[in-house]
Amino acid sequence: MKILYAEDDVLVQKIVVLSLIRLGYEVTTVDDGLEAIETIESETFDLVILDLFMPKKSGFEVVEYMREELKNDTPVLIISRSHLGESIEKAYTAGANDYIVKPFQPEELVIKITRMLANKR
Amino acid sequence: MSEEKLYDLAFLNKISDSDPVFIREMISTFKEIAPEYLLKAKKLFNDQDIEALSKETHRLIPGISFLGAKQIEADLMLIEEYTKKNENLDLIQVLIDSVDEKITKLIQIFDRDFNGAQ
Repeated sequence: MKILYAEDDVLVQKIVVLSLIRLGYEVTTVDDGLEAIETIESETFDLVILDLFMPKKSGFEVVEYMREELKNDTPVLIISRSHLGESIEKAYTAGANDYIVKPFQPEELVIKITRMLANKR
Repeated sequence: MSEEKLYDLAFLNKISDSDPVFIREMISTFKEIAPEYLLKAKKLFNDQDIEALSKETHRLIPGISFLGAKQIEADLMLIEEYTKKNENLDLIQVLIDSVDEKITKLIQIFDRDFNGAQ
């Protein structure tokens, strides 16, 4: 299973990557939203994880572009510090499948990812 | 400043099964990015680019939180709150100085506890 993870916070990125590798997933990381779009355009992933507030393109913009321009229905998990209902609703409206608030417990991340990938099968 | 409360690696130990290589890598990363944040924060505040300061601070908080650095996190959250609301701007310099002092102290403690993780 291949996962793309876009995150500009290097500490959080390392934590999530470690969790994903321990679960046996192959992880590609990028540091901004534009790089995320370019990577999605050139490779196929089973899951895309996006930080909400990234340089160049936000997580909102990336998932919206995936759904509307690329017609790409790969499951998208948004990770954000924002627990505001407005941000969560906007993420779902843009096309995200799930949302997790930083800082999160490792189990919470694992459960969400496992569930999203199981639904995809 | 309470040295005991400057960090708590319970989360990192839990997520990594106390992998010493991973813990050292995280500490090393903190030692790189925290001083970079301070430099940026001081410049942005001097330039009165409050919106950019808010974004930089927002970006640093989760990583600091995962390190259990509660005292630093609390200061950063105040900086984020004040810059977002564009209020209490006179307190921001004090908070940046406080974060600077705590980050410097925490790096010293990490160096002592982890024999200078690089």
